[in-house]
Amino acid sequence: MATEASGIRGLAGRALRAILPFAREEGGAAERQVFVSSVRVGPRQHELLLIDERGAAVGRMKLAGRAHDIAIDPERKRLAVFARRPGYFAVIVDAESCTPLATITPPEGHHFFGHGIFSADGRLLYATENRFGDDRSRGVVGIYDASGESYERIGEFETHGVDAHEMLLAGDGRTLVIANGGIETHPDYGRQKLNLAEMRPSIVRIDSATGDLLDETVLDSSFNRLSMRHMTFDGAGSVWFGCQWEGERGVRPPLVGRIGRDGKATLMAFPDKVAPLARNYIGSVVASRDGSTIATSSPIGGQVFFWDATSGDFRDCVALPDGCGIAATEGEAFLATAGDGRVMRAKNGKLIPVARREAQFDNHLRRI
Amino acid sequence: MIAITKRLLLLSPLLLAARRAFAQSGDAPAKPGPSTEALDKVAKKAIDDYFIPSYQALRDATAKLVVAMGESCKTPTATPSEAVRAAFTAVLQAWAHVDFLRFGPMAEKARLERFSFLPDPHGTGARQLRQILAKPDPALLEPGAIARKSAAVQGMPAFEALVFGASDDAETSAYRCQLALRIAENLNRIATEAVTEWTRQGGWRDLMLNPGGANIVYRDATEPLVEILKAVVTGLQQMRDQRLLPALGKSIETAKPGRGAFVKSGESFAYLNASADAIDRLVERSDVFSLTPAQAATLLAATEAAMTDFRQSIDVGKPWPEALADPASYARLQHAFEVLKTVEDIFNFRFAEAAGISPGFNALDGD
Repeated sequence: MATEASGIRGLAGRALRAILPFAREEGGAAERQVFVSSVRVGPRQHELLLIDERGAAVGRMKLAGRAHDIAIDPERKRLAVFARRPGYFAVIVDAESCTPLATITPPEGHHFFGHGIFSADGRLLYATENRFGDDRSRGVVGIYDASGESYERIGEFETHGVDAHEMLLAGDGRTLVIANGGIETHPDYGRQKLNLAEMRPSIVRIDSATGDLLDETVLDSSFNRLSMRHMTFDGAGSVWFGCQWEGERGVRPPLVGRIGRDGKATLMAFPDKVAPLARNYIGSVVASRDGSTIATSSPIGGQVFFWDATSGDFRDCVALPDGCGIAATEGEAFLATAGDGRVMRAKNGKLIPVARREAQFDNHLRRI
Repeated sequence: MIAITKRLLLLSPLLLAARRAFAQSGDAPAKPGPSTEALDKVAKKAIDDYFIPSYQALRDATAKLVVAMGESCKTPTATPSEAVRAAFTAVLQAWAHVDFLRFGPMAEKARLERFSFLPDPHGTGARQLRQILAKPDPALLEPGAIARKSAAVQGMPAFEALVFGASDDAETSAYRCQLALRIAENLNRIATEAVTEWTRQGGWRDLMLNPGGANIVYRDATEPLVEILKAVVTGLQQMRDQRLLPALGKSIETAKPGRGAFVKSGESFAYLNASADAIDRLVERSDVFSLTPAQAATLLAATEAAMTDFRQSIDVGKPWPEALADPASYARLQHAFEVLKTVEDIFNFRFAEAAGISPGFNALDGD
């Protein structure tokens, strides 16, 4: 992958940067897949990076700080880039030109948790937030008006838990699914976990039209320290979730689960030989395009685990040190990114190197 | 779905060639990491010259605290004896040398939290202690009973509150003293367990020195090293985000000195200094910079200069609460806060870049 002609490549890179990003021609037939992630490019320097399926950069933009997840509005081709928790900005970006449109800040006494989504029509932006100004921190969904240019905050919903993390919009376009990780934090104490003994994680479904709690999924009390944080929908519309274990390090609890139609969670066991590899931590949870396969990454364990979405069985795993970002490409294939700049293609239990960028990929990779 | 056509690029062979060059322009070569021998050597030094001696020092310091406390309880006084104060300071310093190590036996069985329940933003420890003292229960003074209570009342902050809390309530003074003695014994028991679990056959030392194979915690020679790097970075972040930031707040007007560490005993600065010493000593004794021989001298000098800057900055010549109310001292503490970031960058970037081994970007601190 290395190239020795760094002088030439730098020049070519600069010359092309002006031409390439989102070059678009009406009537063009060939589609290129575009993926987006936050990256670190130097000490305390962070950018938004758009790459194609070959790992080539097709756009980049400086960020004020480290970001986490990115919400995508396919309607108006906008991105909402959320700062990592405790986050105080979300940048709205025009995806094609990779330029900022607006910056949203949470209200006093709130910070972003790093995740959010647009409503189906793109008129609203929902963000998971920590409301920490009161005696106890609690999770809320901040609602922002994305229909114009104001991005004004027009309301909030309770998430009925603490540490609201990833949020999904169900296929009905109306139900919000939110993972309450259960780990209390307060920005006055940085990212320190404040309540491990009292954790009670949950996944809730909220009616986005009314803010009503529709139902709540919790695990058996023996798994109180199993923080449910990241989720995806499989082909059948079931929610898959990934967890991080905040209990004893010598214990190997299951880390991946699926919520059935009855709202009950089933935890999926790793085979004994594989269980230690995850290091009790799952970062991203993503379904393949065809909905048949669930990929769950563990940056701490340096592994990506694949599950059969129908049977719930563990399928296989591949080693990817510091790898966390995953996005579906086509069929049951994925693109995966790592903190050392590697971009890999994962298919049928194999990992194929695609590129290595001079950037450290952050936790989440999204396909635009 | 955003459609991007390739046709524009296909128009020109020149552009196509250039595109290939561009695709490669982001391709960075993988850095070869240090040899297994070099990694093993650093891990062994870190364990035998830093981790284990530091836990042994904690065990010994807590043993002395038990003795001093036992002596003191023969004639309970409102203010602690010199011997108790000195013994507590010694425990605090020993604790600062290990309290940022979030792995190993101390991270199991909630030993860390039980030894020192910090931070405690909801004041759980103080509340539970008040409840205990409102209705002193002799059963709690039975040996080992305190270890069954909440972590918030069985460690350092509870001991500090009981001994340095400046209550001259004669009625409870004997009870307070006995309870503090039981807590001191509990601290000693936890520290002793940590030493045993590190050093016994098949203990954490063996685990860290024998990566791979059936070892489920350390799977290859780089993982113990990553653990050490993470420890350094975590130590720096802990000083910054958990010991300084909560007290500093956003400005001097919103500073909350009471949120500092070990304020009641007046040991906040001593504790911070000991924390800085801990980082220095771990870096020096593990010889972690030996993994990048060409850069070792530069990186060590940069680390030492920054840590010296930190120590000088916090040496404000005032007790902690006053320092946070005095603009000049406050500014120096803020500078100290910033300095810790530069040290963190040395390990996260400069060392990682030079040695080809990193504490991890996504792996360091999950989300």
